[in-house]
Amino acid sequence: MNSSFEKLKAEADRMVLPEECEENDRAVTFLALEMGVGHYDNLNLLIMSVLFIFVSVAFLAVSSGKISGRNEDDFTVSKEAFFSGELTAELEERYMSDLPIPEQMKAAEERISLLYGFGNTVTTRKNTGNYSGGNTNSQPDTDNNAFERDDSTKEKAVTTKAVVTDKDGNTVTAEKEAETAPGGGTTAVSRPSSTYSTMSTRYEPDETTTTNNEPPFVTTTTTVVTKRTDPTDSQASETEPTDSRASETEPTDSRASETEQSDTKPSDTDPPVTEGPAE
Amino acid sequence: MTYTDLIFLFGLFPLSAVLSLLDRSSEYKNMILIITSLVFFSWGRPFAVCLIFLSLFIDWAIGMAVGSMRKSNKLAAFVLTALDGGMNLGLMLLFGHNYLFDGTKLGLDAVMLPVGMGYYALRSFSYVYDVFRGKIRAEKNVFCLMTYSVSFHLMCAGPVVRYGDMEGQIRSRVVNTDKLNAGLNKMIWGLGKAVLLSDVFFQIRTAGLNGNEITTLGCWLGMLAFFAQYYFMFTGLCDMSRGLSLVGGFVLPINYRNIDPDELFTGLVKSYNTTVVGFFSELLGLPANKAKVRGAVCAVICGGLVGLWYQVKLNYLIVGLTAGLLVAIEQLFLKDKLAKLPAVVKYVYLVLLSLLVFGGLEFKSLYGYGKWLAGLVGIGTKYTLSVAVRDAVLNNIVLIAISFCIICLPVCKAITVGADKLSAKDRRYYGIVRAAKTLGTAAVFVICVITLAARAA
Repeated sequence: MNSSFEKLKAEADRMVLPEECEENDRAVTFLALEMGVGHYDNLNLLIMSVLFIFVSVAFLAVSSGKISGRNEDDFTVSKEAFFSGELTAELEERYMSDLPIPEQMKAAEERISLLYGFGNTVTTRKNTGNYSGGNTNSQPDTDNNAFERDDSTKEKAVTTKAVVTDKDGNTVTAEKEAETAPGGGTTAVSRPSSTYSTMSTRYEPDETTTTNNEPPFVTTTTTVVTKRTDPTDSQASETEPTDSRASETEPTDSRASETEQSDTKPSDTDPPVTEGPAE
Repeated sequence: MTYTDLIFLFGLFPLSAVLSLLDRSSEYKNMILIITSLVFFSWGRPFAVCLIFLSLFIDWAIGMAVGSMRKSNKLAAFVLTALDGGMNLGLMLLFGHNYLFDGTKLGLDAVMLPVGMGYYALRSFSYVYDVFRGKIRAEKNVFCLMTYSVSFHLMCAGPVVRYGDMEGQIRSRVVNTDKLNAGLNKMIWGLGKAVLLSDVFFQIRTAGLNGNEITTLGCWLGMLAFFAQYYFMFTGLCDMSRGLSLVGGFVLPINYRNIDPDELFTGLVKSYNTTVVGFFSELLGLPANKAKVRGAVCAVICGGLVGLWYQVKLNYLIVGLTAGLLVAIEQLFLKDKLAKLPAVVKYVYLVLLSLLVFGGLEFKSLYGYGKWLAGLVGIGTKYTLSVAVRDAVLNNIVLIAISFCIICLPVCKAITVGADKLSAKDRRYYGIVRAAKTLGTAAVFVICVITLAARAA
């Protein structure tokens, strides 16, 4: 045993081994290349780097080609914008909305999901949009678990009564209560130069009960601002096409909005009645 | 900004990597790292996050003071260390758990760094603590400490690396092709875990733990999916963190280990967050503790602290304390008996115990927890399985199978050993195995990119 060890040691001494240094590293690298390990490592690195760089450049340089409709003047580099976080938010929004081929990406994701298991389907929808931006988190924090007994999460039944409309689809409103002059007595108060009329675009005849999950029927009303030059003119303006987005109504000042509110709250139309919790 | 944001993955990270490679000097690399990390953290709310960076200078100053006083005036050094701990605790509460301050002047709109802040605070404190214990010398160069504290490589569920382990790498590190290759691979597989696998289990969890249709299997699968979701999210982010670090030239310790049934519940608790548990254990004097009973008490306290570190909520504290108590009981009484059990029984023991203990993290009250427990044995449930759970499982069955192969250690080992044996046969087989690995990594990368982009669309 001892002799064989000495024999091996003597044999090892005869061989010129490189020191633990740069030459040694080079020898190991050479051996790795000989074995093919280094080649595959390099190939792997090359492929991953190219993929990374390609995607990075594509996401930066290629835009989605959609008209974003944003105002370039909104993008201001200032100290206030930076410290408030608006600058970074704007930058991120621009980056996300300019990502290329959004529709194809969605379609590709659906196609890929077919490989994940059984029962996945590909929707044939008309995809129109840009990247919405900032909605990358697909995992919302489910803070409220439905196992919990939480009164705030109980559904509340909301009973709504349909808004009464006439055969033309216009909301039937009650006679306006006469506005009271500061002096006390009932008297006519001069109207502002513009008036507000409402139109109903939906007729729902029955009384319906909905829950918080399904918002109650909303009678979309559109405020049409008309110049009160002639009483007959204002009637004609009511045939204006309606807009489903109520937020796009004409901006009004505070006084005007008060008038609008009073106009859209007819006294003979029962307002939505909110009852207590269903259970 | 998080690791899975497209603007980080394909904007900031490549920029940081490319700029870092332009010069070999570590000082230059550190400077690039500090600048890009500032961008990374200040993305959402620059002003508030800048305050966090200011804390770094306080850590540095306290570290210097503690370093100079620890021999001459131990009490003063201890007080300063405790002060630093208090400051970092305050930062963690304010920025990491700011839901506690809702409705007050300190209230912020949203949690800013939900995971990163805890790691940041703990790492900053660990530096001063190590100086106090004499493990390291106080760092005179504030930029070295800044690189250690604010580097985005180490954030987002990354391990709590001690300054002693990083100091040498901060001062001098080499980025070579081996590190780049390993780093990119690790990062891509981590991304796959966080983006693809975690999301699958989120779907199952949502369907299973839906209070409107409580089913027996839903309760089981939903909670298992809850664990799997967070396991893949944290391990994915951790892998990404280690991958990013390798690309930057750093080698970090492993934070998450594979679950080994032989290590029982104690091993499971430790494997989930190795470096964090290690730090808290050391803080309480657990490793050096010879007395069994004292060690058990320390384990319970350590569990409570780790629970609170995750979230300052009552259920997290209770779960942490319970886990610590079980570890203590196991170490005191059950260890030898359980060690003799077959591996399958050990797995069942681990799964059941984990479900019962860590299931409490999902519920805000005992009512919900009790309802879920009853659901496990079919009480209060009308059906065994809901359509939603069935669909969620069937729609993702391939990904679930892949996840099982990753989690289950024997299966994972069998696959790895099989691939090694095959590649050892011949050069041709070796080439096939390597090519398959490269193609697999590239496929995961492409799928992740498409998924993230489609979610943003």
